[in-house]
Amino acid sequence: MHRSDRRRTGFPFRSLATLLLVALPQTPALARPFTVAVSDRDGAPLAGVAIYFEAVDSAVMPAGAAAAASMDQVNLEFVPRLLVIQRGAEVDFPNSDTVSHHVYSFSAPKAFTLPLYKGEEHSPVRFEQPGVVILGCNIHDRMVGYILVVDTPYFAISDATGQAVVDGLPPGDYRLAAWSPEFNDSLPEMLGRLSMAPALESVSMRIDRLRSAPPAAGNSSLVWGEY
Amino acid sequence: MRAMAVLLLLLAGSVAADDDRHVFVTGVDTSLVQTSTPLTSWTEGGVGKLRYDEDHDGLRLSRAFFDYRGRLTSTLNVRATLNYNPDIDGELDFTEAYLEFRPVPNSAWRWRAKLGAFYPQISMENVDVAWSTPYTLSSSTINSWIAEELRTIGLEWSVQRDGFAPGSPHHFGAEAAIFFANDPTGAYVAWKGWSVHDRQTGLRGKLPLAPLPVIQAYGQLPGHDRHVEPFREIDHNAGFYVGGNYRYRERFRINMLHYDNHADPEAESGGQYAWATWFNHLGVQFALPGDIGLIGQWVDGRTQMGPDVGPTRLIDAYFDAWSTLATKALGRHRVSLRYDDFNLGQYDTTWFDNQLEHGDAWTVAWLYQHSPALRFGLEYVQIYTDRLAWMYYPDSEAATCGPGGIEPCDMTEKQLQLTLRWLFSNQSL
Repeated sequence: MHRSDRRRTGFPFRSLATLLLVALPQTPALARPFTVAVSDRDGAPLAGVAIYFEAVDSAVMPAGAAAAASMDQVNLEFVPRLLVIQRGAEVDFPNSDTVSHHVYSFSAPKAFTLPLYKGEEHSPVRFEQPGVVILGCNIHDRMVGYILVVDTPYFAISDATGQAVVDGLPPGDYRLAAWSPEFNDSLPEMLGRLSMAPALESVSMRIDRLRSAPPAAGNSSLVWGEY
Repeated sequence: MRAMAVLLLLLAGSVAADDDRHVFVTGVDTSLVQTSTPLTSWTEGGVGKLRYDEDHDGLRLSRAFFDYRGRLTSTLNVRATLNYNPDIDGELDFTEAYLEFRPVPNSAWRWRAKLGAFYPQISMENVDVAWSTPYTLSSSTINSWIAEELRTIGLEWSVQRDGFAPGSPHHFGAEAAIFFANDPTGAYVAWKGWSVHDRQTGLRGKLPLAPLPVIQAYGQLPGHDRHVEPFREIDHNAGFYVGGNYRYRERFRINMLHYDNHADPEAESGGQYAWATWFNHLGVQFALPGDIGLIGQWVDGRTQMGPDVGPTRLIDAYFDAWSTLATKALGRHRVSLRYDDFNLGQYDTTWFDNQLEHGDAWTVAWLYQHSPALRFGLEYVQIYTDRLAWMYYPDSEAATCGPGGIEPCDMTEKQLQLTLRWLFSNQSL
């Protein structure tokens, strides 16, 4: 299996052939938005895919606290379904529902349990290890959410048109990786190595491991009258 | 007295709370019913298949209930449903009452346990508050039967595995239970047959029997009570069931269950008899394009009671039924159409106790959720039954069958029901 070979041989896993550089206007400004256009192997745009840039030379990474984030509970669903955070970030679970939840995870990067009982206070959760943290609710078995903890502040999730926009990416050498809950495992797909020049504005990426866009978070009440 | 109790529960249920440690939902189903049947309803000791009949329709209280969910600890819950049925002697009783243990999963295997009295995981319709259905007013023949005489009074253990990895669309589960009581289960489906209704028997409930020849002074079971008490323990044998389920996202679900109450068919206590009853159930739920939901259920089983008389028991009946429901939600509206097909047969040759039955039913319903607290439902049920035993009751006007069952003993009964459901809760609904 060539895929597992790629995982074993380390980075870069793939030739830069899949990395198509497009649009190279001459504007030297730093920290401008950088766009990754994410598509499946047939070229159709993919929404809901997390992409992130890890510096090959970690000295490039800025120091400072990781930005806090929020994973809400709305209508018995985790919102957003997929949250990407930098390692060390604190995540709040505000619970916008009128009912209690009981969030838990048994994932290796962060196993925890957090009751979100109505009328009771609760603290944010800090995520210290990179990896995929799968969230469940022990009161509502159907709820599932994902937190991708990455070792970089440069990440984004592709929108409905497949565009993922990363802000403030300084020049340097990066590994570009992607992950989606539809991958069926917790390992990211390494998309390639990228030398970020000030002139570069966007790249197009094809995700091997997804054939089509993941389904929208299911609102089963459209079909089933569940209580 | 009972009305007072219901009123108090209504008040208790409407006191708002800051937390949801205790959740009360109180509901009242008030109905306007029009029936067209010459038969007296089974709820009045007749042989009619509907809950109401021409002498008992009009403005009716269908049920009032008080559903309680309490959180004892972060992993231990208590659930109970107190239900009031005005018919059959006015029954204020629990339909379910159990403890549920939900440990926080530490792997992809998620297991739960229930201890107490609760419905086994059979119905795919009755997923709304207090085991009502969000699709129709009446339950299908299979689920009406479950409501009449099936409850787990014991311990159920279940395990669920939601996919093998994140995002997997495949979900598997299994459950197993041991239970006591439920020994007379099978008596009612054999002697009354299948029906379509919205009535749930309480845990101490009694179900009236028509004047069956077999339980008369001259019959083979003169000591049998004129009621069936489905949740009585008679033989002290434990029953069991095992089941499995599979789900693909929200698009497809299949449930299977094998049930055996493991009753001693010769055991008797206080006019109630144990019926050895076992059955298999298969349920599927499928979402069609256009967000049309399809639910199908099928049950196939057998029940035996009484002394060994040659190749079979005094009573040895088999039963099967299936139903298909199509449903579509349109905003606050939901329309559903259901077809039921049902059969009963027998292996015994006991005189004047015939279980042969076949029939079908159409149900069409429109439900309108006006607000979270108020729902309107309009339902039409038409049930056709051919049941040979009706020839034993010349007064029942089952009518067309002559002595010896030369003519078919059949009847089509019709019911139009408009039901208003009011819900009150100490939480937002």
